[in-house]
Amino acid sequence: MMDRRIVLELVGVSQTFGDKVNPTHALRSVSLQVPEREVVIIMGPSGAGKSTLLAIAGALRRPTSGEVIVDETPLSSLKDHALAEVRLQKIGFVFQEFNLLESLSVIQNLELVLAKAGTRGKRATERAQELLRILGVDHRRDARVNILSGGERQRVAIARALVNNPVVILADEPTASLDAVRGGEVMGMLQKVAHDMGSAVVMVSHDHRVLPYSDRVVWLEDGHLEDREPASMHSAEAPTFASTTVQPG
Amino acid sequence: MTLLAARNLMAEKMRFAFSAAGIGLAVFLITVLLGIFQGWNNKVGGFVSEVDTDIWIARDGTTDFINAASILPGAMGEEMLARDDVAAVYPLIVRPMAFEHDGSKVEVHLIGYDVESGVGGPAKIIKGEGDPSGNEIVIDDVLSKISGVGIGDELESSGMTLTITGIASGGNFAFTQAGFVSEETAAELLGMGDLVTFWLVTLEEGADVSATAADIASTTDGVEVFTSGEFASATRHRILDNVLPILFLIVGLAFIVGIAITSLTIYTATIERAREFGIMKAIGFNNRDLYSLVVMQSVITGAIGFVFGVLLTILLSLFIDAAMPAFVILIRPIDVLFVLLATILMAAAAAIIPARRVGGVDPAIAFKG
Ligand SMILES: Nc1ncnc2c1ncn2[C@@H]1O[C@H](COP(=O)(O)OP(=O)(O)O)[C@@H](O)[C@H]1O
Ligand SMILES: [Mg+2]
Repeated sequence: MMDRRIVLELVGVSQTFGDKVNPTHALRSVSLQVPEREVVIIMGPSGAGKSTLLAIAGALRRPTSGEVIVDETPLSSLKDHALAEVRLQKIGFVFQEFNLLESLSVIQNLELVLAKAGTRGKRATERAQELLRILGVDHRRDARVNILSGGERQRVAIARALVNNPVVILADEPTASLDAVRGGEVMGMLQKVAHDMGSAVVMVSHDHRVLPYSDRVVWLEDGHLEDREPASMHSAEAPTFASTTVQPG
Repeated sequence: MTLLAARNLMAEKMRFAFSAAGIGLAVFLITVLLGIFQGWNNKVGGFVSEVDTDIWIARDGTTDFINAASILPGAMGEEMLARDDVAAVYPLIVRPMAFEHDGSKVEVHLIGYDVESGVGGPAKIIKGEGDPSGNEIVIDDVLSKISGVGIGDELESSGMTLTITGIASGGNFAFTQAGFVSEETAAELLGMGDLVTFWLVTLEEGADVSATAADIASTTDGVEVFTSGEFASATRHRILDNVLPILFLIVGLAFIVGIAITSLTIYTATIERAREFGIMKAIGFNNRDLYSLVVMQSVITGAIGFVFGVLLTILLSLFIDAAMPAFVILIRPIDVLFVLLATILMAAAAAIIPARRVGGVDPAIAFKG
């Protein structure tokens, strides 16, 4: 933990939706520091503000108040196109619904993002291929995305999130659309990405089976954030991906 | 990005085909109408501008070559020639008339000209002989195709029989076609004595054409004097002014239909892909990237529609050439370029509303399940 660089920081972030008469306080002065290589899991009941927190941390939404700092850059001072650049260069996104571009092939999905960041041609193809190999989907490189299984899609999505070497990966329920085996594999991949490649991972999940893969768990409820000991939530009876193996396929 | 645009279009093949066909039809309409316009413009005014003279003198009230009910005295030629600034004077007799061939009617725009100088005669002989003498006539090739008469055939009128000795090009006036005879033969056929329709005046080297025309007009009673250029454009306008507004209206409608069809399909495609646009924004693409994606989709559609439309036009004009020779469609490269610009404009205009829609997509949509 010591001396690790903070790659994502939220300082007193609040988000209010609706009007003054009937406001929804999705986040109330939330602060969070995420160092490199750390896997943070955000849990909490539905409607607690978890997706909102990810959107703000990911420079997709400007908070009502507070500051977000990504890789030492405060976001509040940036214009929209600069925020898009931060998302492109510094942040990788992994979504519950995979969100790949259906009309492109696997490798084209990666190459498109690489091209946007200025890497084209052979270098782009090599980079894309390397990531697909690391994630175990290189045999699918030329397949159209819409014929892949859910597990394969999520691996491709993680590969896409990694193409530009982001400092942090933000994932919203990445295992929710997957069965236990695929979910376990995807979690293993994310943990490996954090520990081997150095990107931090901030992940929202309802699923207690993801807890063994985390370094830290935070609980979000009513717009307030507090730390939880992973151990306290990870009781002996709690299910794990390992213990709930389903038929592969 | 181009790849993504192409792939997005191919993902909905029917819709893509539909919108490309829509643009194609608009392109087709615009090209055909322009072609007809250019064809007429060329045919109708073309003959007059080809006549090698500086000034046309006609009877007062004459507006153009085709509808000339002009009659001028033969003595006027001598009067004109007497002027210091005039080098030569030629008579021209122009009158629509009907001949008979094997019991069927052949309508000819009869032109009697000075065969010796050739001024006012056929622009180009493509078969047989020019220079018709006493009982010979040279007819336009379009007339030959329409009426099915050719070299050696005989045309009869007013007890006279003319033999076709040559086929000329450049005498198609869209509605009528020329038949060239000597001035003397025309006078005899029409019983004009020494009267003529026009006097064609060629000036001495260095004389000011406009000034001389104005001077002739003010010193001669009962005439209308045109410079060659004026007369050609008056003839064009006379014919084209009637069709031009309709032409513009149809071109305008074609344009709007093209925009509407493309807009609608690109818009639908954009709405359907709103989520994908949101995802692209989320992972780092900015609005400008997405605008250009939408515009590219529209432009690809437009380009394919353009090729389709131009091919259709070329096919049709080949068919028309064979089936209706008088109805000349003239497609100039410059007009195709114009249609290409119009297509790009259509495609760009069609992308405006969808592109605005894309600008408003919330990237946080990507987090929604
Ligand atoms: N764009 C929005 N407009 C208005 N209210 C919203 C919006 N996004 C989220 N909310 C509200 O904010 C609260 C937190 O939502 P969300 O962050 O999606 O929760 P979670 O992901 O934890 O289920 C909810 O009450 C939700 O209705
Ligand atoms: Mg949520």
